[in-house]
Amino acid sequence: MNLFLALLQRVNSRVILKITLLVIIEIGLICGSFYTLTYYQSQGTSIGNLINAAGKNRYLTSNSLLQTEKFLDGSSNMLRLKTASDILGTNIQALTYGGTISGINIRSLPSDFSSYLSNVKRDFSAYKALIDDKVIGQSHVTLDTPEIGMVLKQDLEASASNLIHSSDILVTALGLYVDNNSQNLIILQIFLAVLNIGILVLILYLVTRILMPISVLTQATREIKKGNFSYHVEHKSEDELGELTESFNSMIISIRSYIEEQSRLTHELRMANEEILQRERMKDEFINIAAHEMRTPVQPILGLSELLKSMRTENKAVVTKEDEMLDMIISNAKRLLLIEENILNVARIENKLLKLNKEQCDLLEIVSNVIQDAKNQIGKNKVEVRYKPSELRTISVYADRAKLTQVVFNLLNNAIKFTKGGSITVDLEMDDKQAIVSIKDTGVGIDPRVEPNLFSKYITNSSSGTGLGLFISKTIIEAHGGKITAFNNIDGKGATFRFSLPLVDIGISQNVERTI
Amino acid sequence: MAQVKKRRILIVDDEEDVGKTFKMILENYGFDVDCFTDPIMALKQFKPNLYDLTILDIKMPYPNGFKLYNQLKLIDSNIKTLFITALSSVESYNTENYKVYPLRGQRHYVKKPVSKNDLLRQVYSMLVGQEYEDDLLE
Repeated sequence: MNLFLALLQRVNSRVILKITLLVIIEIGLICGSFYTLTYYQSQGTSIGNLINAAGKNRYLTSNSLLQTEKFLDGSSNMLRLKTASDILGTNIQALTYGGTISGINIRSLPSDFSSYLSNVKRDFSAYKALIDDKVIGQSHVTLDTPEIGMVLKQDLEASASNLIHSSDILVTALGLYVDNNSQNLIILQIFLAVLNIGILVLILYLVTRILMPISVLTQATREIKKGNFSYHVEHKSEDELGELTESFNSMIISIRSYIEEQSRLTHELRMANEEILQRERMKDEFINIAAHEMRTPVQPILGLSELLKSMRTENKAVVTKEDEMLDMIISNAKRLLLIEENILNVARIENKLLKLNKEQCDLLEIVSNVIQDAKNQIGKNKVEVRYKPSELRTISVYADRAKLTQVVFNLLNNAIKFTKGGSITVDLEMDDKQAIVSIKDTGVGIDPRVEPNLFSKYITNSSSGTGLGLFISKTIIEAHGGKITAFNNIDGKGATFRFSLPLVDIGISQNVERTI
Repeated sequence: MAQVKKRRILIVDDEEDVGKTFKMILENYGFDVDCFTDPIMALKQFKPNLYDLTILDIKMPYPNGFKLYNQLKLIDSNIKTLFITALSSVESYNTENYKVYPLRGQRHYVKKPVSKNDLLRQVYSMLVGQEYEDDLLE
């Protein structure tokens, strides 16, 4: 038992303790029932033995009477008479105090029967006294006188009859008791069976209650797996399952608040992002509208000057001062457009709104087109352009066609402007990874004071109006993953502008818009 | 000057001077030109097979060039249209309609201000289906 308690103490689980306690109660109940029934049954058996003993009185009394009468008739001796009455005495003694009769252990008679037993004892005392006083003590008298013998016999018979009668009453009483007892035993059996079943059901119910949270928690985990984080497990107990439920609930609460916090942050982030995008859209819209407003008035100036010029040249072959004035209006309108375009591009770059609409395009074609378009200006500046891309068929790059055109135009335009009467060599090279465009002129070269900041946006020079073109070109080329450089030629005549572009990588050739 | 069959052109631009400039240039090169500053008015008098070409501004109070184009298309499904805009990014002006009529890489789309020769080159190529040559105009 101590070992068991020590074991229980070592098992640090209330659930196991609870269940163990219930099992102990059930075992106790079963043992108790068993003991009660066994006891009751043994009680019945011992009373049965007493009935046997009490029933023996009738025979022993008769026997004693027979021996006494034989003695009186002289056909038996004293020893037999005494033995018979002694056996009867021993039987009554055994009924009173318990003992062994014919090898069967009997208990003393229960106190309920003491009145019956005292009757038996009283009658036996009377009978015994009669035998002791009248037969054994005065045998010589009685033997001599037959009349006295007759009277004595009659007395003896009456006394024996009394004893037999009181013994029979005792037997009857004992029989009734046994009968009662067996009925009670049936009732007790039924009662104990019902009690045992009832307690067993109760214990099963309690065990189920103790273990209930396990199935509830299992259900809860299933719900949580589905994403139902508002789930709450209702269970309160002092054991680990109660504790488990509590920590499970608080776990759900912290997960829920974590998720809520996450979604709140995500929402805030989305809102902030939306706001940034909105602001960007507004900036973009503003720049777009501003550009529209600036360009619109140029259209009539440019269009009408050009029309006027062509109408005039249609009529006469001589170039007059007015024609020259028209040319100046036209070229300055165009210059205004160029400046305006550059300023807008700088605004876009500064506001991170310059977007690349990348597509697969041919660098060779772009360069050729720009040179073609610059034909007039090349002629005007009397420049010779050397361009022999014959061995190359296409140079496929993944780029924004319009922006790249702008870069080539800027570089070529600069070269033309600074190379009056000289020559410009446009070269295209290609290796595994990149394409290189270089524009080499024999012009005035780069002013060493300007060179370090050549591509910065605040550099201006007298001839071009704004030096923004190089800044924009650099931004565009770098946005494409390329590099732009400029240096004065080694022979001291003119400068070279050169830019590189990575070749198309088939794997990434999707049309993605990229903000610089 | 190249002798081409007299063609009729509709110009819609809310900027009166711009529309007039285009009209004057095109008339000088032998086209018959109607010019409107109000898209609604232009739409009201528009009939099937009346014009060979329409030149539409995109940014106009109401309806804009894209919407007007859709309306004109309903009346004359064969009408050729040249969009001319001073917007640098048509996408940001009207995303919804940009989807209806994609302009990136579209031939029939020129940016304002457009030079006389560029305008004529575009109009000729759309109407005659052949490349316009500068020499013929000078």
